[in-house]
Amino acid sequence: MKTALIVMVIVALLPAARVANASETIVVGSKKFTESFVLAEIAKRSLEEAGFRVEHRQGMGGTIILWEALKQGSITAYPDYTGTIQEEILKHPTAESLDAMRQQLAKYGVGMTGELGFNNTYALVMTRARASQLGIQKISDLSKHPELRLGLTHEFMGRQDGWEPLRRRYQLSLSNVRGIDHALGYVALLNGQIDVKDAYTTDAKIGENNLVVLADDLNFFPQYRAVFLYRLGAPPRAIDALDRLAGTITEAEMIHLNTIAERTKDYSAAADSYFKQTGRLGQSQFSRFSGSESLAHRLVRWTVRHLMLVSLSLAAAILTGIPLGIYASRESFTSEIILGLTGLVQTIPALALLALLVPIPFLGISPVTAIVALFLYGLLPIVRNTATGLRDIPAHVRDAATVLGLKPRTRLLKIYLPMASPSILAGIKTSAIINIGSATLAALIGAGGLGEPIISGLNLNDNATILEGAIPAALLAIAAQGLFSVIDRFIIPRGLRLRPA
Amino acid sequence: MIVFHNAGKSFGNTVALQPADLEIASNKTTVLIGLSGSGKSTILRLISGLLEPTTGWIEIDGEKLTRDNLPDLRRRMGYVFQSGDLFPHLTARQNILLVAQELRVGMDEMTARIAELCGLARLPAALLDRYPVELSGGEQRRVSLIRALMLKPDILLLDEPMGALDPMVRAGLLTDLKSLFDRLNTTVVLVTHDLLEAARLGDWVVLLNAGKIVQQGAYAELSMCPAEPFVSEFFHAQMEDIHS
Repeated sequence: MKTALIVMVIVALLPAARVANASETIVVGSKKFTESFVLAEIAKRSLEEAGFRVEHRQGMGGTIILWEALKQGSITAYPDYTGTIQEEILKHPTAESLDAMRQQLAKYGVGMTGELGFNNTYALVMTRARASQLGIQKISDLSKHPELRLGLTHEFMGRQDGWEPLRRRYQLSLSNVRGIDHALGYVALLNGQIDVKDAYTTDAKIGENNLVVLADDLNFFPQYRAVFLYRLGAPPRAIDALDRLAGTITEAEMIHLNTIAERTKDYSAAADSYFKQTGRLGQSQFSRFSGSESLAHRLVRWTVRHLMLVSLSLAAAILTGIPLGIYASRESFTSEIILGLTGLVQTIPALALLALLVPIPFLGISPVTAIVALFLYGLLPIVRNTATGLRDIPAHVRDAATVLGLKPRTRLLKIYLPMASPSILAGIKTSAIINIGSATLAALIGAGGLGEPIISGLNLNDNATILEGAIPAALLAIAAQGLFSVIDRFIIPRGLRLRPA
Repeated sequence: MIVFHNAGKSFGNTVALQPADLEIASNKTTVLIGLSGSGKSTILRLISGLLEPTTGWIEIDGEKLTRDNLPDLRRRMGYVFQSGDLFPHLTARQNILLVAQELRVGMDEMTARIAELCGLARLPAALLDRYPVELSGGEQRRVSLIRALMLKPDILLLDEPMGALDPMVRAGLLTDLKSLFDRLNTTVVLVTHDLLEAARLGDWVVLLNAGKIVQQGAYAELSMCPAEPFVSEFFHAQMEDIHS
């Protein structure tokens, strides 16, 4: 049993070691929405053309996660927008020249390409029917309809150039505001569950659904001109490859590319279209990059990564949780602190925990961060069940062990732990199942796993893609349940499994 | 000989055993009897070091019981609890062998000793590979007894060994204990609330009430010459039980 566990850990470690070592590979990150995916895919092609090995870490959560990853060097480049860089990264409220921004970014070892050629600013959109019914054309018209229901992305609600400042500038008194995922928000808007949502002006959905973009009559929204941010330390030929993309994508083209991506559910198809139009890349090279990986292949890759995340974090949680649980089983103040702290970790939402861990040195955007987060999540059930299992051993059994004159170590290993084993194993089982679920969030920081299709499916509003991740994850949870029932038979002593005659 | 020198035990304001002087003779069976809460189990727990006295001290064969010599002295004691003191995850045999294995006693020696004790405690050897849940209450007591006797203790402590057994099983075990104690020739301290056990097993009987030793002597002496009204009340109450 022990050897099997060790082999499992070693096998799971191998891919992690490879990832940590891939220093020569250029890693391009992207945010969690279609356009960012497409731009990163275009950058990937351009870099590959320049002779680099490129990995695209898709959909790594929001600006802060990507910015931290770039500063640390977990990624080499990612697409962003001038307005976002100004407001969220440089925290500078007024617009500046590109050169002024470059100077400030250089302090962090980060460079910026020229503008790619389009402005993708925020906008508020409504369905044409609802807008004309209420006679709304511009944002200031909203003040006449305080009853309207808004569904906004969480990022927009929190931004310096987002909902709150916008509301103040336009003196809007709308109070029915809900936070909702960007792609799901479009579904809600079209279903009539919300009336207004935030959008990017290049969203494919606007044209496809003939939505009304409300005019920004007070010029609130800053310019969001697309650029690539990159590490100044990147190879000059790589920087050139990114710079070459400047001025090559107009607004109309970007909307077109986004539409292709969402219609084909394939970002590389959009990138194909870009290179076909600009005629830079020979036809022969397409097949090498386009999404040719079979479903089975993808599923295996995701599942293996998922299992690695879960098994490593679970192994660490077991190795740490059982000793902590043994310690916490004694009634003391420190025990309460241990139980309290492990409980506290559970109350932090998974995404927030990931975001908190990313800025920590040596973690950053990597599977290690995901493993650390999952480890922290897995701790509570194991610590608590170990402590409870030991505390529940009847006093007369403890007395019997003591008066027999057994050494404390023998008492623990031969009597108390085996007697608490059903409870401890139940804790490990709970941990494993929680982690199989939580590990799907690892994809948000580019750590891969079955969360990858779930997140990209969420962005594309494509249920089939979501299920590619969700079904295997559910099957894994069921398999874990079965596996642990088998393990129970090996580990829980027979005397504890028998029913009285 | 076990000697209590003004030894007493309190938990906060609650007195479990008032400071007492008590001598427990070697190679005899001493029965501590009383109602629950009378302090009889406290005496047993003080001897085994499960509790430390709050006043006075205890000597075993002239050696003062301290934390330092407790592990060694414990090797010379066997302890049988009321019920359910077998480790449920171990078979009867594993329960019995636990300590001997830790002390690395030779396998042949252990096998011989188990065979001898199974005879003495009248436990069929076939039951040794069963788990506690697969044994009856009486069988469990016998296994517990064998476990306590495994290392040939000088002192055998029994805390209500026949509590929670049905009357038929109890009668059988009582007879077997009697002959066992006679043959072992060790110091036995047995705690009970039952006069019949005291009468059958005790060379010396110590009656306790509310943390105080009320009277001690041979059974007949307590029965015939009660030192206090409580003694005769205690005797009468149980006799009435028997006749009603």
